[in-house]
Amino acid sequence: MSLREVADFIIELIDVKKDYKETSGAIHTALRNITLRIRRGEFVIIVGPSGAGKTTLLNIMAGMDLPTEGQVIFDKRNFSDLSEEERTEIRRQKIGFIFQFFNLINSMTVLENVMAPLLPDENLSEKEIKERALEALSVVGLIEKSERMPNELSGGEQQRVAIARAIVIQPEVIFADEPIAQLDEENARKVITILTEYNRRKKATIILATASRELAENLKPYATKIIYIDRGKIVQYLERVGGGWRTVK
Amino acid sequence: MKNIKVSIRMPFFRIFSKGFKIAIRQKKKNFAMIFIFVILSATMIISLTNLQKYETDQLVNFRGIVIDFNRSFIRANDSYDFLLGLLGLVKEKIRGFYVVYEFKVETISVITIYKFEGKGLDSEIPWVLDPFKKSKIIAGRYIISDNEAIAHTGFNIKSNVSGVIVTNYFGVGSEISFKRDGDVLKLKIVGLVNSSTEEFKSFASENESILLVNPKAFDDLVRRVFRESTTIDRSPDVRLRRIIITIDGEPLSGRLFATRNEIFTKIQNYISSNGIVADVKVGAIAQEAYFRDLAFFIIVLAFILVLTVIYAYIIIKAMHFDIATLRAIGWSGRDVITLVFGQLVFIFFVGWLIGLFSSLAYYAVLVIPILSAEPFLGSILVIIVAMLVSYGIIKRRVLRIPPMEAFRRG
Repeated sequence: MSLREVADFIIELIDVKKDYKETSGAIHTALRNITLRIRRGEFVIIVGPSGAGKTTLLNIMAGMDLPTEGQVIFDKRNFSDLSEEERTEIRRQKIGFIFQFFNLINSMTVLENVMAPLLPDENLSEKEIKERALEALSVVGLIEKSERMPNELSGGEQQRVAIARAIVIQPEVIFADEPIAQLDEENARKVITILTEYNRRKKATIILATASRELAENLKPYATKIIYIDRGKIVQYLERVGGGWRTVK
Repeated sequence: MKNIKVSIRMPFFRIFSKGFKIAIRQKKKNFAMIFIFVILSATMIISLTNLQKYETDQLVNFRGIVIDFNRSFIRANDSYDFLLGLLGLVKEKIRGFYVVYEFKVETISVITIYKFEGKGLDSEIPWVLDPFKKSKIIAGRYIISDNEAIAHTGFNIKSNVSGVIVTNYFGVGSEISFKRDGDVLKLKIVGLVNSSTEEFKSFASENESILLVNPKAFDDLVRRVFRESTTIDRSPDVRLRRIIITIDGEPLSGRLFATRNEIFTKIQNYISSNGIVADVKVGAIAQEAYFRDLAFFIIVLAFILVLTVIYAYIIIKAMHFDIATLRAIGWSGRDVITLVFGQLVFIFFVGWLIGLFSSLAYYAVLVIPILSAEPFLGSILVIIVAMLVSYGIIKRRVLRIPPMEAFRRG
């Protein structure tokens, strides 16, 4: 591995294991022996059935949870060496999230939801935050609905607002957890188009988790890595090499 | 010299105001809580006012022993040793030893409330002489400086003009000049009380016009205008009309009431042993009445605090996934706490404000004078305590919601 390649990694997971203590006291291993490296600008698809450990993997990669064993290195910083505040700061500056159930704050308007990730930023004025939020809303085609409340929007529109909220910080990485699972075909297509376009134009890393093998197949033309996991383990790991695919595992 | 840089974190204000905005937007959801806070705030202000009355409007009835000398005119100079002896007998257990002196100028009785030998509290003076106490003022205000006086409705000065009696009535703003040779004392009437003539008779002569002034103005009148050579408490022309003693001691433990009875007995014995005819009255408020009002206040306070705790839990539970989401997208624990706290502050503040106006309306409807701002300030203090309690709960609960909970929504 060359030095240049090392420098390009935005996320590295080295032999990651995650255990949870169940209420009965038993230890449940949600992830085991996960090693993977993701370069800047990649489009990674994590595929696995419900309970396979996809969400745990996203949590660990985003620094919301720490591994029981192994290392998670985000942009050359080991999450285990950082405080919760430092990991939060990294998320605020570099990571966008798209959730399966949109996770919009229903008591805030669409515009306020999109402004939310920037509100704690000391270096931005409220005016600048608003301008950037409106710009993000225009990317997802919802600028005219900025003063609406989330519950006045369709599911597809809500997910586009969530995408606007994710991209407003101009993130280096976007984590999307089942982003189209709750959407009809047309809206799902719109969401995927926005994400793939964003990945292509902004060179942002996208990590998308899905239970649908069909979606993974459909997204294959855009993907650079496809990781199949089951019961907390990587069962298949495909990496795009040139025009084809290489099986890493 | 080093420059001290004070920086206020701007995001705090915008996040806090966002919390306010959310609370306003959810006014329908918050209505019930605001309504309960209105009731509790108003009740708290009223109960605080009731408690405050024990040290103000009801002070004499609560802590006081009143000695009236009725018709047995006692000159100040004759009574001086008697008063010194009485003070010596009780001074360890009292707060104040107030003497009402009268100086007659024709048809006017000028009276003052005098801290005998300096024993007393300025804060008690407006409350110790019933007919002239602050709460009896129906127009104007209480005396706050020298050369001011309080009169009563119907206060008048009669003069004889060519054999015809002319009666001049005075009200708030009127000025009365006492002039003798070159010396003048000007008194301005700043307040009017609505007490009946009967109420004055026990401590003023038969005169139907009585003016209350402060000791400085009284001293000026007696010594400068009327050229009395002695101090007022030893003057032969000044009359002792009433003694008001306020007892020291804690009402909660019952010590106040025990001391009050003990001193009452001592005074009765002292007066009779000196062969003086006087009417001695002890405050009628019993310990139970005080306990009742105190218990009511504590219940209201407890309700507010319990409600605060419950509401903080409710709001955190309702916002569980929102909190997790905000933390996931990079809000620090402090940012989320600020947002939630902003909502609670809005509810408390609006509830308190409406409660304040409701209590003012209550006093206005029942025509009860508002004696001071203290109960209102006290209610702010209670609300601040409630906010601090809720802040503690919010802080504890918010920090226990991990950001990864955001993925569990649905």
